[in-house]
Formats: sequence, structure tokens, C-alpha cells
Amino acid sequence: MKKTLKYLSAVAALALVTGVAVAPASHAAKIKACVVLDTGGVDDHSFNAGAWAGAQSTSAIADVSYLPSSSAADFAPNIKKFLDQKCAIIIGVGFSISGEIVKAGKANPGTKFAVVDDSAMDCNADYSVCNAVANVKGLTFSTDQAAFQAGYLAAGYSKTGTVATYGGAPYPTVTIFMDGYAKGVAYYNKAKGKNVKVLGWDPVKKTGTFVGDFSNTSKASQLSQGFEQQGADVIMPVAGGLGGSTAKESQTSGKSVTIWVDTDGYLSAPQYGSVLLTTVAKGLGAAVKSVITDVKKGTFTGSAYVGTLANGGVSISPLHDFASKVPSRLQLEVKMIGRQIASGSLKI
Amino acid sequence: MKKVWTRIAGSALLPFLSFLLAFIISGFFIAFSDATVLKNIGHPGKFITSALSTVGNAYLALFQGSIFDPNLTAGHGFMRGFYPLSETIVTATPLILTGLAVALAFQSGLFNIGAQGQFIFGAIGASYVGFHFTFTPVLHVILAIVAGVLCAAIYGGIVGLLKARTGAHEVIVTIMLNYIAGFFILWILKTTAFLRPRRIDPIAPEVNPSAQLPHLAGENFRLHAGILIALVAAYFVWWVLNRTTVGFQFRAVGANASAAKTAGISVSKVTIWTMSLCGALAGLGGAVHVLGSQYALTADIGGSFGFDAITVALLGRAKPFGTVLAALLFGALRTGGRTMQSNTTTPLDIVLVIQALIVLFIASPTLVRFIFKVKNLKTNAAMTAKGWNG
Amino acid sequence: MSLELNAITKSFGALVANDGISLAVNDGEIHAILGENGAGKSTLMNIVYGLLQPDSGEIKVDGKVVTIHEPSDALAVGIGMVHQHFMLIPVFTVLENIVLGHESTSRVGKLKLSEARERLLKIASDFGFEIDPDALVENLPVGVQQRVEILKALVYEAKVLILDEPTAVLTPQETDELIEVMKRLRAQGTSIIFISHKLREVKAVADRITVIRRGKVVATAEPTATQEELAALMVGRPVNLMPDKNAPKIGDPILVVKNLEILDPSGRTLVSDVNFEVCAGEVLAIAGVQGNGQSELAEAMVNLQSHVRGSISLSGVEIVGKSVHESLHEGIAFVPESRELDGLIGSFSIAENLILDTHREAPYTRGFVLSPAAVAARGAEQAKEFDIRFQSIQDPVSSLSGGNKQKVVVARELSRPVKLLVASQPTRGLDVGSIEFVHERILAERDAGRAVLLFSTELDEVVALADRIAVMYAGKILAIVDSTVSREELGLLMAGVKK
Repeated sequence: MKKTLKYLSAVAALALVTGVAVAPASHAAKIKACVVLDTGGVDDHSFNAGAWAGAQSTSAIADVSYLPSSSAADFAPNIKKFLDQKCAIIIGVGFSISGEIVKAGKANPGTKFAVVDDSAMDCNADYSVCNAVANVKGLTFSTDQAAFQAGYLAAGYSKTGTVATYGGAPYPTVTIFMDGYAKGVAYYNKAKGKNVKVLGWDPVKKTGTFVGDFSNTSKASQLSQGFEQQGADVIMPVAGGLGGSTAKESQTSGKSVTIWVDTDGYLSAPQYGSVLLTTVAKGLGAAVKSVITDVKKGTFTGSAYVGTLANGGVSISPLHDFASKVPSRLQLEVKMIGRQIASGSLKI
Repeated sequence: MKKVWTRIAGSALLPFLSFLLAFIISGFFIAFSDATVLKNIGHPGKFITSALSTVGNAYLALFQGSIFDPNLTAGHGFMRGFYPLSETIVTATPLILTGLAVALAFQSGLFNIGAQGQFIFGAIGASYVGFHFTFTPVLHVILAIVAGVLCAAIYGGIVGLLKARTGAHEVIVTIMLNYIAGFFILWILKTTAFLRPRRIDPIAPEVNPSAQLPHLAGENFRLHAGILIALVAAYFVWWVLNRTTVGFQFRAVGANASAAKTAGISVSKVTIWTMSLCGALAGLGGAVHVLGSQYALTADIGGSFGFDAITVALLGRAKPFGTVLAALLFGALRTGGRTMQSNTTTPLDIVLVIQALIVLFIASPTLVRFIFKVKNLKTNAAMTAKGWNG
Repeated sequence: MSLELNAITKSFGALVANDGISLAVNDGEIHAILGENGAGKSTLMNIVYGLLQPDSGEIKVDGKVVTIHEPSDALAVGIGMVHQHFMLIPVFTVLENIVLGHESTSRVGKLKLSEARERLLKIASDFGFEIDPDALVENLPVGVQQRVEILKALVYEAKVLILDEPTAVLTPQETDELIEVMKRLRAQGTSIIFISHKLREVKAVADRITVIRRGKVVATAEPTATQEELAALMVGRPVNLMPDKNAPKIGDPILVVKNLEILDPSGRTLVSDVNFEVCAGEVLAIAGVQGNGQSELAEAMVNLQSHVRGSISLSGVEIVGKSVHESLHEGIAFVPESRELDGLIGSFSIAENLILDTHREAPYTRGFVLSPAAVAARGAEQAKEFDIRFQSIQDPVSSLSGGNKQKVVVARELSRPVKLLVASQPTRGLDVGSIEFVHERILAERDAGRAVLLFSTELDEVVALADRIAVMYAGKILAIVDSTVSREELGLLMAGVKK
């Protein structure tokens, strides 16, 4: 026993000593860019992964690192950790971290901050007055613009006259997709004098169908089956990784097609390529990349970034396998609508 | 005095050795999950030095991130180097209280899996009183805490009542009530009473400054008065168990329910009381968490405080002060893991591996005894077994 | 076959359980091993049967040294054992239990029972046993179950049979039958090692008696020795086997039980139609074979049973419906059947166990704060009065010997003002010295004018202490008889036979 302990402590000591000796040197030329993730984790195949991928793509000009958060309680200490490490820019992913980032931004005017998916405003106690903070940039996305196109496409593609959508949880970043989608369908109905129904979201009452979280795959499958039974043949899940459950259901039943969200699913989830009508893409990675690049170039400002169809921050992906199955006239109309929204001639 | 020390050393030996083994084995995980180390696998000499340096760096970062970091002292004075320690304490504070909620139940022969749900109810109660009312500072804090504790005590008491009146097993009931609490907070955060103005995502307003727990070491540290409350609670639990009639009955029922019953102790009363008190403790944890560091109620306010509490209580051998130490250890691993991930490439998840291994070894004393060739290792297998069989 | 043990030594830590034990069992002999609980009998037999390994010493079978590492080795050299607690599976048939562990199967895995059945029937008829191979074990009386165990050993050709306390679970009639069976086995050439602490049985059946005390052989006696002589050898000092009993001074009825019925939680009747009364200064013993409702009846006296109908009145106060605490404080002392399970909290200190019932009262509690000093002081006082031996009053009660544990229970229960003492199997598993103490204490309570309700399955104890005897059978009181009744008649009543 004694002997074992002695040996172990020797190994431990050696490890510590050598550990100190070979601690990595810093790369002075690059800036330090740090990402605090939300509770979804780095491999959520959705916005955490997208934001982190964007940060990683700047590795030529920046040393990038991230910290995961297991709950909201981790946000503040994670930000603090990065402040201690003198990061040039600290990027928080997800609107729920926004409050902590704004707080840190006000307390550390020398450091630059950004929040993905929130406008990152500094609000008073009852949220009646909100101001921008000079060193905090909010990155938001008008995904409703691209979703509007997707809704129009879905309505035109549907044989049954019923399309559906559901969300992971009723977060504003989720419902904005569903809202745009439903409005796109309504626009189609008005333009064509049709009556395509939307299941899962009511754009007037702002209520809809939600899984409750972003991880319950069996609930997502159930919802998808339920929509199919009610006649829906196009389904848009806005639930991060749960989109796979719906795509799988589309594949097995053959009764529906799926509209992916965030990143072009035909490329990121090729196993579902055969049933993906299109993707409502959100340029998370590009936005994160441009923020880091701005910091490096010294052109960073706190003014909000809003991804739109006009600036390419949101878009509708190519139809890939469906290019031949969707009437070219409908494809053209979708493109036209996109142009009208971008130019401002069509208001959603 | 010497006897006391031998006893403490005796009961600390198993946790210590488990701890040591967990770190050694996790060292292998760290080394073999590192790209540089794996690249050197063909060269034994290089391989060993790179493995040792990776593991050493990781554990050094773990220490720097949880106790003392000399890098932080520059320009801020020596004391700032203890910032990680203050963070460890902040993380450990709610865990101490939920850990006590599980430990106390163990002492009464009950397995309280429900600290999670009780914690959530404590947080809801404290948050509501915290943001909805305005009182003078000290009074407001007290009222908010009392509200949280009451909510959670009732929530825990339901378990005791169901077990005492209908024989329902507390493990099943508490697991189910955890689900209910988890969905209840999702729902309540969407009601107009709780929803932050102009927001539709589930987050409540921050509690008023008058309801926030005072900071203990200035504004540069998040260290708040919650730790004092937690330590007093730990002492209170010890005192109740060892110095009061109720505590005597708790322990009697926990150690041998049928003998306690034969001697005229009402097992059902003890069950109801224990579960209420456990609920109160976990709820105090939730209240302190909201009023001390979070300020705003969110759907994931419970984190995994209630579940880690089970591990913490086991590690602390269901003793109040053991639980405090175990919670501090877990707090240190959590906060240190953050530095480990950001300073070295070792992922934060390795901390979960360490935690799991510690528990694994604590639960299999025969294995530890075999590895270290120690005799007479004190175990608490009986305690865990009783918990399950209820 | 002869079995010889040479200088067997086995220690557990500091405790030497067997200290150089040597004994020889001759071919076709019934060799009794007599000793108190904890004397080392079971350790020795577990060594012979391969469940424990000796530190030193050797075992010889027919003059040849054998090594026995596990029970299968023991069976291979012809040693079989019948444990005190049967190793049978209740839902299996007799035949299935006998082939258990030695199943032979056909190529597709189907059990081949026909050979085993023939063999079982042949051996049963050789030894004169009547047995139905297809009866479910759970439906058999305890005595027959024991015979199944013996048959199992014989089927695997045991030539030396170890019987560990075989009469503990039997009625007097079944005991007599077992003695007959043992004699028949001896006649067929089987040697038997008979472990017991019951002097009467040992004398009735043994050819030779080896007495073990504290791990050592203290004497080899002949069955002609008197019970007093054997007891003195066992304990190491002269023992008073029959407590001196004064003539009873019977007073008013204290306990009146009327039409008592006890149900289990599912509504099945466990005890019914129970009517009796116990007067001040009287011992009423409830005799009967284990499992005929005595345990439930005893517990009902302090409301530990939850489904009770009828009336239990103590000096005119109705007990049924009160809490356990209230019942105890009406003046009932209750010594439960199992002191380990129901009487004591093993991990609690001796002092704490002594106030388990009164911890809410002054001086142990002020307000709701315990006073450890008062608890310890009270413990020391009671320990002195009841001669409880320990190193420190703060030691866990589990560190005490059985006798001292029972003294703790008795001391606690008699510390309150008591009108009625309910004692359930108060001497079970105790050594002779402690039995003596408990018996004297029970009689002292009776002579002090208290009513005593004694539950016991030990016929000797019942006869020695009781003024009247109620015999329970199948949940009913079959008869209440005077203590001068003959043992034969009592035995018949216990077997459910009423003249």
C-alpha cells in the first residue's frame, strides 16, 4: 500500500513538473477569439455547431476556443473565464446568454462581444427602454424572409393541400421561422386563390406545436406521423437536431417531404437528401466569421447585424434532388418573391 | 482526541483512494484523447513524455481553475488569485444544500431522488417573491428564502405523505415529481405572472436588488452569503440528527425501522417529517441559487444540482460535513474543468468521467481494497442498499 | 464410515472460533456435539462440510487425510449436511429439489427425472421413509421437509450425516419421529453428527457426546450423564435448569382479550376467536409450534398489527386502536420475538437503545433537545441493575453478545411503570446463563404482582415458567390448560389434536 502510494505520488509530481515545462507558448500575431456555447453543446448539428464552425474557419487569423454550458448558471463564469484569458472578442451563442454578455460588455468596455441570435440590447428593469452597447454586437437573422419563400414553395408543391411545421420550443428564434413559413403559405393562397392549410402554427394567435425541447426524438417522430395522418405532405421542423426524426419519417412513410433549417441539409445531413425539399438557411457561420475578421482588421462596431435575403445572411438553399420534381414555374415564382423581399417591394 | 482522528482518517480513506484512482484512470482518458499524444504512439519515449505533459497540464489547469491561479494576480493583487476558489464555492453552495437533502433522507432510510424537483420549487418560490415584491433589503431576502423553502418543503412533504399513507415507494414518487417540476417550471415561465415583459422565451425578470444575497468579497467576486447559509444548514442538519428528539427518531427509523416502530416511534410521521425537511433543504438550495448568483429564473435553473446531490451525499457518506466537503470537491471539478477546457484541449466532459469514476470506486470498496491491499475499509454499502429497498 | 478431526483450528481476527478441536465419529454412531451458541459448533461443521477452510488441522475419512475445499468435495467423500434453515425451493417438487444441482439432461436439454425417481423411491423404502416424489415442498409439513433434506443427502450417498440443530423447527411429535429416523439410519450404518444445545434430545439419541465450550473440547460424555452435569460442562459452572418457582399470588385480571381477530393486509385471517385473560401475579404461556399465529398475537398486544378486530383491555383500558407508543405507555412491556430485527437498533449505542421508547421524556430531552449526558447516565444505571456487560455504554449494541442484547431489551421494557409483560420467545438463541437470568426476571415480575404473557415454542420453558398454558394451533387457541399437564398431552395439542 505504502509502496503503491509512493510510486503514484512520484508519477503525479513528474506529470505536474513536465506539464508546467511544456505549457504551450502563445501566438502573438493572432487575435484570441472565444465562443461561449449554449446548452445544446458543440455537436448539436445546429446553431452551436454552425457558430463554432464559423469561428474555426478563421483559424488563420485567430486562436479560437470555446466553452460549453451545461445550464444557464454556467454562462457568467464561462464569460468570466474568457475575460481572464484576455480574449479579444467573446461571442455568446444563443439568445439566452444575451443578458450575461450585455452585463459583461458594460463592465468591460475594452473587450469586444457579440451575441448570436439576439440583438443584445441593454434594457431597463421592465424592458420598456433598450439601448445598444458600443462594444456588444447583436447578430440576428430575419429567417422569416427565407421561410416565407419556403412556405410559398411548400404550398405550391403540396398535393394534399396541407403542410405543417413544428418547433423545438417557443423561442423567438424558432417561431420566426414558423411565422414566415405560415405567411408564405397564406401569400400563395391569396395569389392563387387556393386554400392550402398550415398545421402547427397560427400566425395570428402566435401559437403552435412544440416538442418542448431539442432532444426528444420520439416526440418529434410522433408529431411528424401525426401531421402525415392529418394529410400534411410537407413538414418543416424547426428543432435543431430533431429535424432528422422528421426526415426519417418522410423516408419510411413516403407520404411527406421535409424542409430543413439552419444549414443546407442536403450537404450537412446527406443521408436524408432524398426527402429534403429545401433548406431555410441561416448564415450563422458567415456572420461569426465576419465579426472575428472585423475585430482582426480593427473595423468592429457595436451596430447590430441583421442577416437578410438582401445581404445573404439568410437564404433558401438549392432544391438539389427536387429541382426536377418542382414545376419550373413555381421555382421561378419562389425566386421572384425572394427578389421582391430583398428589394423591399414585398413586405412580410 | 487521537481516536477521533483515527475515525476520521478511517472514514476518509475510501473516498480518498477512490479519488486517487479516478484521477489516475482519467489520466489515461486525457492522454489517449489527445491528438499529439496519439501521434507519438510509435515512439515510446516521446509518447510517455507527451502523455505525461498532457495529463499534467490538464490537472494543473484543473487546479488553477478551481483553487488558485497566479496568472490572475497580475495588476489586481495576490487575493485576486483566489478568484477560482470563490467560483468553486459559488458552484458548490447549491450543491451542498441539495446534497444535505439527500443525505438527511439517507439517514432516515429514505432515498430522495427528488432533490431536483424540490430545488426547482425552491427557486420558483424565491424568484417570485424576489421580483414581484419590494421590501427593505434584509426582510426581502428572508421572505424570498422562506417562500422558496416553504414551496419545496410542501413538494417534498407530498412524497412523505404518499409513502406514509399509501406505501408508495419514494424513489418512484420522487422521480415522477422531478418530471412534474421540470414541466411545471416550463409552463409557469410562460404565464404572465412570470414572463419577462417583452420576451416570449421562458425567462423570469431578475429579482430586485433588495432580494439579492449580499456579496462577501466585493463586486469582483461572485462569492455571496449563500455559502454561509449552506454551512449553517449543514450544522443544523448535524444538530437535528444528533441532538434532537426528531433527529433521534430519524436515525432510529433509518437504522432499523421495525425496531423503531416496536419501541413506539411512528414511522409514518418520521417519513413525512424527513421528506418535508429534505424538501426544505433542497428548496433552500434553489432559493440561494436564484437570489445569490442567477437572479433570473430560467427553465434550466435546476441544472443537475438535484442529481449530482445523490453522488455528493454518497461521497460524503450521508454525513452533513462529509456532504459539504464532497460538494466543494464537485464544485472544484466543475469550475476547474472550465479552465482545463479553455487552457488545454482537454474537454470539460472529462470532469464527468472523474466524477463517475469516484462514485464507481466508492460503491465498490472491495475493488479499492484489492487494488491498494487495504483491510478494514469502512464502507457505506449498507446505506445505499437500504435506500433502494426502502 | 468413520470421520476423524485432528486439532482443527480456525480464527476470525482475534476470535479463535475453533481451538485445536479433535474428535472421532465411529462407523454407525450418533455423535452429539453439545455447546452453547457461539461455542464453535457451526464453525466446526462448516469446516467439515467445506464451507470454511481451517487455519490448521486435518480431516480424516476412514483413516485417510482428505482435503475439503467446498461442499462438493465433502459430498464426494460421503459427508452430507442438513442445515438448520432448509435449502429447498418451496415451489419445486420433492423430486426436483433432490435432483437440483445434479440434473442430468437429455441431449436437447430436457430433464431426465425417471432415473432419479427410481433411485429416490428405492432409498426411501430402504430407510423406511414414506414420501411422495411429486408433492410440492411448500405443501409439506416442516418435519417432512426435513426428511427431504435428509433424503437428498442419502441419495448422494452420504455416509456421515451432519444435522445442524434439526429439532429447532419441529413439534415434539416430529422431534420424536426424527429421533426414530436417526436410529434407523444408524442401524443401516450411517454415522450422524447431531448438533444441539437441547440436553433432553441429546441424551435420548446420542451414543457419545462431545461438549465444546469457547472453541475447545471440554469433555466427552456418555448419554447416561444427567442434564445438570451436561449443562455444567456446557456453561462451565453449575446451572439451575429449573427456576425455583414460588406459589402464585393471583390477583385481579389485568389483561382481558375478547374475540380477537387479526387479518393480514390482504384480508386473510391469521388469528381468530382468541379469548383469554391474564391476572396479576400470573404467567400465562402461549405455547405452540412456530407459525401458528403467536407472533401476530404478540404484536397485536401493542398494536404492531394493523388489521385487528375485537378487544384487548388492560385494566379496563381498551388497547385496540391506540398507537404503539400509547399502548406501551399504558403499562405494557414488550419483549419482541426477534431482538435483532425488532428489539434493537444495531448501529445505535447501548445507551441510545435503552431509551428508544422514552427518548421524548425528561430528563433525556429538554424541549426537543436531547441530553446525551442524561442518556448515558441512565444507561449506566440500568446496565448495573440488569448486569449488562460491555466496554463502553457508547459502543454499538451490535457489539454485545446475544444474552447482553436481550438484557438491554428487557431492561428498557421494564424501565417504565408496567402492568403487563409480554415476552415473545425471550430466550431464543441465548446461552444457558442468560436463559437463567431471563427466567428469573420473568418470575420476579410475576411475583411483584404483574401479569405476564409469555409466548414460547420451547416446551421446557413453558412448563418451567407458566401457571397456565394456552396452546395455539392454526391461528386459534385450542385449549387453556393447567401447567401440571403432561408433556404428551401438550405435544398432541401443539400438533392440533384435541381430545
